[in-house]
Amino acid sequence: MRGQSTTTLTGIARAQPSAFLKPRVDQIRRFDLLPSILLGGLVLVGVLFYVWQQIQVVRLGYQIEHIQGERIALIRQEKELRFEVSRLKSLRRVEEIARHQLGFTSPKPGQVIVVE
Amino acid sequence: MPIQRGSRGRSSARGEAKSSSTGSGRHRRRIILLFLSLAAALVIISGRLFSLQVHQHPKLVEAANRQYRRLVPLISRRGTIYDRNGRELAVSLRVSSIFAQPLQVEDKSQAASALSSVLNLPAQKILEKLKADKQFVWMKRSVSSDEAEAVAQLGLKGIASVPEGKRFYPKQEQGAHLLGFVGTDDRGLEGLELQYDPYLAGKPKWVVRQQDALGRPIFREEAGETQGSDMYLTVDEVIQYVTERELEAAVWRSGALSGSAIVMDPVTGEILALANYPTFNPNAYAEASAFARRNRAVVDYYEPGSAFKVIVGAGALEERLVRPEDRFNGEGGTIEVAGITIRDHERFGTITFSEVLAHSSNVGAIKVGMRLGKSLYYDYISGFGFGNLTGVDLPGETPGMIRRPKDWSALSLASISIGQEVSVTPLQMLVAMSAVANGGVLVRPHVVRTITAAEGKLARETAPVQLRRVISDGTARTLTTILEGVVTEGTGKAAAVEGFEVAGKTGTSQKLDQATRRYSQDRVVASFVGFVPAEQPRLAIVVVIDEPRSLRWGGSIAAPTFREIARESLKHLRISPAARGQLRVAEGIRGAALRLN
Repeated sequence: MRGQSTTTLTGIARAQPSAFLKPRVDQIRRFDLLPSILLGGLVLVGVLFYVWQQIQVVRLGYQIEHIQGERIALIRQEKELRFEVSRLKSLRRVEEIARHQLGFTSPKPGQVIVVE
Repeated sequence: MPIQRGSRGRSSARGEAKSSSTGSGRHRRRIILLFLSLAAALVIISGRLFSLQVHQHPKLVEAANRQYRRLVPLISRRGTIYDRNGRELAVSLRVSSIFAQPLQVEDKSQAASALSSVLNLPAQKILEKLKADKQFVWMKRSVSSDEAEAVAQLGLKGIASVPEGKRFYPKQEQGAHLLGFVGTDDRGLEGLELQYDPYLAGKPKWVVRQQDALGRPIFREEAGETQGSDMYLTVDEVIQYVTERELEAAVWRSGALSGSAIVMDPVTGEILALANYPTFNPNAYAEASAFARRNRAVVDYYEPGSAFKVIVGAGALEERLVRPEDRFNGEGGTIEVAGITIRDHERFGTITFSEVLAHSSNVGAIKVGMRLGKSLYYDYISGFGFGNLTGVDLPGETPGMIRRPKDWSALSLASISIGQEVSVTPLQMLVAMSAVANGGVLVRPHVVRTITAAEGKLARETAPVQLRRVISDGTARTLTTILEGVVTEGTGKAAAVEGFEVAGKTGTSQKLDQATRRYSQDRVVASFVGFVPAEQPRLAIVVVIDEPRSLRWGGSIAAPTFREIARESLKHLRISPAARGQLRVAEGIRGAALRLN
């Protein structure tokens, strides 16, 4: 029986070899492709990450440049304001306002007593 | 049938096999053809890649760099100039300058018309510039932010703006002759701006900027500005203001042509104020005359007249040829030397040497000069620094004029004893008087205290420099006492400051008339040079008024100006009569710190 059944199976196998082996070969092939697919996927992810990173860098570059522009403008404004303060504190201007607008006068020598 | 079927089936199978082999051959040929085509394409692509990446590599890299990398000049900011207390005297701000690239401008007439209304310039002038066969022309330098904005809004092709640094002087005329000014290219042209230009000017610097296809900046390697060193002066803004104010008042009061005044620390040589009138606004220096721009306190020289009697007196005292109490015959106010009669401003009888200086007797001074003799007198004149540069850190200083004894005429010794036949600058006169004030040592005057680099590092520090001893401490003290007499009872009474002892000397010298080659009777130079407090001097001051029409004496115009400057400056420095005791201790410490050169 055992011999007969063996013969029968062999016969079937001989009669339809592909029908019997193809699923297994496909399975093996599919199994063989998996690392390649994984590797390919990994490479693709890496490439996408690289591209995304480059885009982010450029985008950040624009932002930094914009902020630096704002910073430079603010520094410039600060300097202009400091210059204006310095101009307004000019002693000639202050004295002119004190004398002519506020009516101040310089103290005479006898009017000042220094307290040590 | 089966055979036939079989035969037919075989022949059919053979036919199929034949047609199959024919089809397979065709397939193979097609595959080979495809393969060859692909191979050919691959060879072509590889060849092209090889050409691009190997042969044309340097050229293409350069082209790519040109497209996305751009060299950008950094704005060079000039260092700020501060007074000794950190108040800003000169600052640089960023402004825009409009330029054109004429070859890129499309409609030149229209562009000229549009720019004319925005920049407030003649359209014809702009058009001429736009028609020039040049790559680059300036339209207008240092425009206001509104103008720059308006030009940008015009959106004209080939017209753009570039940021530049521009110098501003917030205190306007104040310290103008000291500070000087800078040109449109941000380079110093006068004063400290010229003298210290290598320190103040920032070094030109370029940075690499990455830009996209539209020319928008993405990155730059370094942002900001290149900055020159900041400079701290010895000048005090308040004393400078007071000096300028009082000098201007004196020039107006006397109807003088001009005037100069300097305030200096006689121990350290630090110049606290330096003023000339007429003056100018360095923000608009181009509108000022050359006369107004000239730093006459350092550049111009004059005959010092009686103020020079201090030098003959110092020499005679140092050589022990006279004592303060020695008596001289005033000869009734006249003396004849080499056939020339020299007169005093009043008739003196017998007077002491102290009185000779106090009342500024020409006859007495000539007699003292004759005791000293040509050679010794010349040595003292040179020793006090006349005929040589003081070494002040300002451009254009002149050494004055003093001839060697071998070139002196028979009259020269007498003339030079009363301050004629010798020319000095106001600064030289002040430095000489400072030597009397500080105990007999000639110091080098200076205006800059420290220079600080952009990173905060000290780039330069000016230490007080003592050049040489010219008279002994004892002689200096004796002379100081005599010069106090000038203010208490002599020609310089108007220089007296309440609560302080003042030492000084008046001077009124006739000017040489270039037409007649004789001394003019109308044109004089009135001056006063002195120091305060006399016993422990903190301030040495010289005031020179050129050609006063009224108040023509040094004692009547220069001495009161000295007083006002001294009084306000002492008040500002918080030196009160009661504080002088404490001052002595401070002076002792300060004097010990001096470096002997």
